[in-house]
Amino acid sequence: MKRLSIIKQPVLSVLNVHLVDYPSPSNINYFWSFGSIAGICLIVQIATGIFLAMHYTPHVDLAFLSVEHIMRDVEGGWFLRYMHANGASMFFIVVYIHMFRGLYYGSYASPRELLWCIGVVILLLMIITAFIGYVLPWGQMSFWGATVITSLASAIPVVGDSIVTWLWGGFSVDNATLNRFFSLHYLLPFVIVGASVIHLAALHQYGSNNPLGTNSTVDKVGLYPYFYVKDLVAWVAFAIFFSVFIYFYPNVLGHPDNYIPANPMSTPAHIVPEWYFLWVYAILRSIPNKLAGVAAIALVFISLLALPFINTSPIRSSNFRPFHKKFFWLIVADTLLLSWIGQQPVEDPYILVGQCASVFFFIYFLIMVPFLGRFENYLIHYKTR
Amino acid sequence: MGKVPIRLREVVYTLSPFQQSVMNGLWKDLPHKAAHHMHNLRDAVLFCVAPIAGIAYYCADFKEKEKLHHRY
Repeated sequence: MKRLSIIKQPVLSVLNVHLVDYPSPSNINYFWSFGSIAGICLIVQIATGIFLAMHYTPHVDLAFLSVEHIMRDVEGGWFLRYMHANGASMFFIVVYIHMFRGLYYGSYASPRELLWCIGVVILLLMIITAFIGYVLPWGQMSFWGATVITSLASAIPVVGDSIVTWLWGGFSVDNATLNRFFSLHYLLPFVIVGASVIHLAALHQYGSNNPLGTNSTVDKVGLYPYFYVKDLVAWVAFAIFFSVFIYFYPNVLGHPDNYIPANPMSTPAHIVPEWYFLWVYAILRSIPNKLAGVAAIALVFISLLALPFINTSPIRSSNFRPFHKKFFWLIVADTLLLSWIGQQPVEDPYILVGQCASVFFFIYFLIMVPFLGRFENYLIHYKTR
Repeated sequence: MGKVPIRLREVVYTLSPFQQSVMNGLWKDLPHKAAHHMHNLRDAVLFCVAPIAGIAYYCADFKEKEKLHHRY
């Protein structure tokens, strides 16, 4: 019996179809490189995380000291730790750009609904993983951030307090909490890998979108070598950007209070989450009622999940949607503003600005997306009548 | 035997994008291209940078007036 060519072997043929011969639209620009960069970030986080876990001790008396041990005593430990800590920030920067690219070029629109929804699930998993990862160094901001955010579950009527006790594994954030967070922080990245594989499978079912937003079935070229070479340029640029943070500004994206060991008897003046959660945190704080705040966060993710289903525009790319293009830039500005407000003290004028920005966020996703599609569609028909 | 050796310089020239003339249009109509890109950026400046700058200015002004109000 004749042996099959090596790339026609069962497993390798799948890799060949999806990672080598995958037909990609010839006109995709550098914003399409952020998907592969996100994949690199995930691999970097898992690789550095595995080595950090070899030296880390998940115990309230030793966690902070073990991180200092990694920084001072472990050969190259400082590099691993800075790479992991800044890698989380890089991962979020890349994923946010990836999402906004999808929003601008309408990559979420039919028939790629599943692709977008899995992406939102990955974002949610990333947020949970990053949050519990930030607790592990057991600094002041780790402890108090964990206390504030896990306490949000107490807003749920009837079962809220029981859920908080269940999350903590006791009656306060303590050793049991740290242990389960460490365990979950090790597990969840592998769940993200699984979700990413499904994300890729959903992408390859209908193929990549392109800057024109048209259904391109003819103008395609192989992923290898064309987009490997193009992505390589983006990967090198990203590596330089990442390196600047690791080698020159390793703590600029973190909070200085996290270099103080956790002290349950001393609450920091301002408890702020990591920068990549600030936009959600600002929405949470803009609502005076705790339960309504938690419901607003849930609504953020429901809005993102609902986006492909409430979109009414037959045109994908915002290059050809003059009104949506303006609103796209407004939602970018709104998200940046929310991130800025999230780190300000809760006082005037930041409260008002945060509330207005939160309202606009929901207006965009729940009202403007369906309305603008219909409105622009009407204008097209009016013009061509 | 039978194979004609290919000189490396010829291979390099063949692969070079300049030899293939694939970038002929790169410098063509450059002012128009620049103007087109600037026009595309206009929306980003008007609807992204301007609101952020405006609101940041409003907040700074508010805090300054509040400070002066408490002082005098």
